[in-house]
Amino acid sequence: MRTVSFQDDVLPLKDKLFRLALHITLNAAEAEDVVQETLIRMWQHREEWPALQSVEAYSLTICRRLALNEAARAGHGNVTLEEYDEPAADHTPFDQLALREQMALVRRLIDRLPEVQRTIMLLRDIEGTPYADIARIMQLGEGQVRVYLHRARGRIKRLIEETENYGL
Amino acid sequence: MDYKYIEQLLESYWACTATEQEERILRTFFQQDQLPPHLHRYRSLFAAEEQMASTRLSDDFERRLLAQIGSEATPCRARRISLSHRLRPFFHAAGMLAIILAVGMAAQRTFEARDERAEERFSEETAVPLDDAAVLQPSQQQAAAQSSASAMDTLTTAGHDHEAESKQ
Repeated sequence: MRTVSFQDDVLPLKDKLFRLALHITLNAAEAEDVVQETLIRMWQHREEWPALQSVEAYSLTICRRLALNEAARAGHGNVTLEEYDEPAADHTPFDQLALREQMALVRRLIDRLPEVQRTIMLLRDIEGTPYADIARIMQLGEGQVRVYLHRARGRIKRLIEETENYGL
Repeated sequence: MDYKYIEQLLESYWACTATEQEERILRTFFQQDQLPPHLHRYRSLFAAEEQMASTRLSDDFERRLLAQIGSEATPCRARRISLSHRLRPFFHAAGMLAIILAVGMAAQRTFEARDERAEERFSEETAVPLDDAAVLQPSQQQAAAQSSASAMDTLTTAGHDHEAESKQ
């Protein structure tokens, strides 16, 4: 029988859970509360762990649900995550500055994507989650996951190309 | 340099048909500083995603969480226990029993040997030769011979008397 431990299998997911919660709530303090609540719930349901197909997918599902509730409760709009960026160094070369600005633009666009597209893009492109697991977390079919992801990536691609063609 | 392979990978990335491994190759490619101009523009997307992947929770989060869950989470770590590990106390008990038995048997033998030696010594000291002659003095022997002869006489005279009575 597979043994699951809180210290070795659940707690190391905390940063992944935080990134998911952060891209749904768009607020670091609220995202941290969501992660804490998720991990407490995981601990309370520890007798169910051995029966789970994937502890990670299960905890991400709980985290997403709690984050959506939190975002709905707080009712904030399109707050961007820029406040969470690291401050720029004082003497940044020009091309580095241009890259930073473009990156900030890409992040703003990702933040403005509909929640389903944004979460799927985060799970696939940032966390490298397999499509089957994303489908389980989002409670969608794999085909639907690919459609949403295709739309999200397409929007980013268009933005990048437009920025290059017409300038920032 | 030919970038056909990377261009193909990028096309399948936009179409959401790239495998996880192909997406990893793309990410590694876009990490380098020198990129061809027609691919350079997509660098901001992969760099932004890389930056988002490095978002972490605050350092004291784990301590605060464990304090809230309670100390039970830390010592209650589930461990995989093999059969030999599980039976170890019985092996210890069996080993102890074997040692006790061995010591007990050895002690018993030692005592038995000591008893035998004591018995031998006792029998040597109190040994009596089976032959009466070794014990009786010559005068005693004579007396004994006489008493036995007189006893025989008594018996024979008694026998004669009995015969005479029966004849009468």
